[in-house]
Amino acid sequence: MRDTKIYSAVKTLVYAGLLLASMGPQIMSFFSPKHAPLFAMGNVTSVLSDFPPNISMGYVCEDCVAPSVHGANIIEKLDGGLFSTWFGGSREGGRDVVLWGADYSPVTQQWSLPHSIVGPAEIKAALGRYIKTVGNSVLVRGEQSELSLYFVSVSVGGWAGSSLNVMTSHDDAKTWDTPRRLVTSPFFNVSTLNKSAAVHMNDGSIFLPVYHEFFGKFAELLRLDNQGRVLDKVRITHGRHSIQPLLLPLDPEQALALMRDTESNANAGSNPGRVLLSRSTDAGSHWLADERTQLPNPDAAVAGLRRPDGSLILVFNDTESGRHSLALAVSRDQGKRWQTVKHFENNRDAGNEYSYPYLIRGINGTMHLVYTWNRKRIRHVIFNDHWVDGDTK
Amino acid sequence: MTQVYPMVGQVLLLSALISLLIAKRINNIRVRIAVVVVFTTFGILIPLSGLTFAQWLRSIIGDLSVLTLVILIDILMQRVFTRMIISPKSRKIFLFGVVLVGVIFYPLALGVSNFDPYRLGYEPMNITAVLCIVSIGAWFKSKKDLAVLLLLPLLIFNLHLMESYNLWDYLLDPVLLIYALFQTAIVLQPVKFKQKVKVP
Repeated sequence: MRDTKIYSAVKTLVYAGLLLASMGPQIMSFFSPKHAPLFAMGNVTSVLSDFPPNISMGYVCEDCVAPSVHGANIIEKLDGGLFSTWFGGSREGGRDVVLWGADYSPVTQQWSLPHSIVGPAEIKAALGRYIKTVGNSVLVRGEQSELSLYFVSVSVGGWAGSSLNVMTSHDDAKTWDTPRRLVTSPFFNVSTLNKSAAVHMNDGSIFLPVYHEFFGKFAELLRLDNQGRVLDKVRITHGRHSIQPLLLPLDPEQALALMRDTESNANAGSNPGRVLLSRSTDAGSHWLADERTQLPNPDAAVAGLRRPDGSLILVFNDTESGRHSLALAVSRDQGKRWQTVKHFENNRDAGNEYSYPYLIRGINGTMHLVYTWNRKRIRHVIFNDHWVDGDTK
Repeated sequence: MTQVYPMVGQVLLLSALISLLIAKRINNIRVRIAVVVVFTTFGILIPLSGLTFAQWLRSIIGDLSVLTLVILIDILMQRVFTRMIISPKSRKIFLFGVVLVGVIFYPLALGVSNFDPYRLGYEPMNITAVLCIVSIGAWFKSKKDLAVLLLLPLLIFNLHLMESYNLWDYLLDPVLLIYALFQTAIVLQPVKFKQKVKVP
C-alpha cells in the first residue's frame, strides 16, 4: 500500500517536472519585454540633383550560357559593384536548371561571365533530399554585412511544390555556405516561393515577401532573423488571385504590398487584370483587404521602391495581356494614383517577353533594374531620379 | 541536433511500415524483429540513385511531427512486440482530437481565410496553454499516457530538435491526419452499421 503511494507520488512528481519543462520557456518568453519591430527607414539616399537625366541599358549576360534564363535579382556589393543571380537551364523547371551569378565591376563597369552558384545536385547532397529543380532567388544584405541568398527548390511537382532555402556568403558572394532548408508551411513544407526584395526592420530582422500557389494563390511575409530563423509569418491576402507581393514601406509603420493578379488571364476582357494593392498600418503585422489599382497587369510580377522624396516607383508590364511592354509608373500620393512615365521596352512582335523586373536603389541614388529579356538574356538598366522625373515634375 | 531527429523519424517510419506488412504473416516475434531490423537497415543505408529509400520518403513527406513518431512507436510495439504504449481509449481520444484539429487547421493554413492558425505556432503561448490544460485534465482523468503524450511536442520544441521554429510542425503533419482520419473512420464504421441494423 505504502509502495503504491510512493510510486504514485513519484509519477506525479515526474509529470509535474515534465509539465514545467514544457511550459517554462513559453512562460519566460511571455513575460520578457517585447517590442513589435518597425520598418527601418534609414540610409535612404537623397536625390542627386547635380546629375543630369541618365539611363544606360545593357545586359547582365547577353550569352547567358543556359538557353533559358529567368527570375533575376540584384544587390549592391560592399565595394560599390553589383551582384546578380538568376536561374537558367534548358527550360524553366528543367532538371538541369541551376542558379547563376555574375559580378559587375565598379571599375570596368562590365559584368563578369556567368558562373554557376548552386544546382539540384549540390542541394541534394547538402539536404539529403531529392531536388528536381531550382527557381527564384533573392539576395539580402545582413546586419554583419553577410549576404544571404534565399531561393526556391522543388522536389515533387511544379512550382506549387516549392520550398525555400537559404545560403550565406561571408565574402560578398565569392563563396557560399551549404544550403539550408527553411520550414515555412505545415503541409509537407511545400509552396513557399519568393520573388521580391526583402525589407529590413529596426530590430535587425527582415520581412521576406513570399507567396503560396498550391491550394490557394496568396501573398505572405516571412519575418526572419539574421540567422535565417523564421520568427513570424503574416498573411497579406487569401484566396486564389494574388501572388508575388512587393513590399513598400511608406514610414516606420505604414506599408503597401503590390501584387500580381493571377486571375487576369481567365477574365481577360470582362475583368482585365490589375495590379493589386493591400495596406498595413502596423508595420506589416496585419493587412487590409486587397484592392485593384488602375494599373493593368497581365498576370506578371512587378518591382518597385520608395524614393527619398516619398514618391513610389513601379516597374510593371503595362498591358492586359502579354509581357511585351515594360513601363515605369510613379505615385506621389502613397499609391492612390499612378502615372506611367517611361517605357523600358515596348515591342509587340510575337513572342517578345520582358518580365520579372527587380529594382534596387544604390547607395549613390542610382537605380538598377534587371529583368528577363525574351528568356534568353538578363537585361540591366541603370537610371537616375532625373530621368524618372523628367516628364513629371 | 536537428539532423538526428529526422533520422530517428525515418527509421521509425520505415520500421513501422515494415511491421505493418509482416505482422500477420510472421508469428515468431524474434523473426519479426529480425525482418524489421534487416529491411530498415537496407532502407536507411543502401542508396538508390544517390539517396536511400528513407531519404526518398523524406523528400516527399518531409519531417514527421513528434506525435506521429509516438504513434509510429506504438504501431511498432503493437505489431512486433504485441505491446502498447498508449491505451486503446487514450489512442482513440487522441486520434479523434487530431481529426478535429486537423480538419479545421489545414484549410485555414492553406489560405481559405485571412486567419492563419499556423502563425500562432511561432510564438506559441496560447497553444502551450491549451495543451497544458488538456494534459492536466487528462492526468486527473487517469489518462496519464495521454497527458504525457500531449507534453512531448512542447518538450521537443523547447529543445529545438527539428528544423522548424513553429510548434505546429511538432504537433501535427498531414501523415498523422490521414492516419487519424483512417482510424477514426474504422472506429465509427461499426457504430453506423449497428445503428442501421437496429432500424426495423
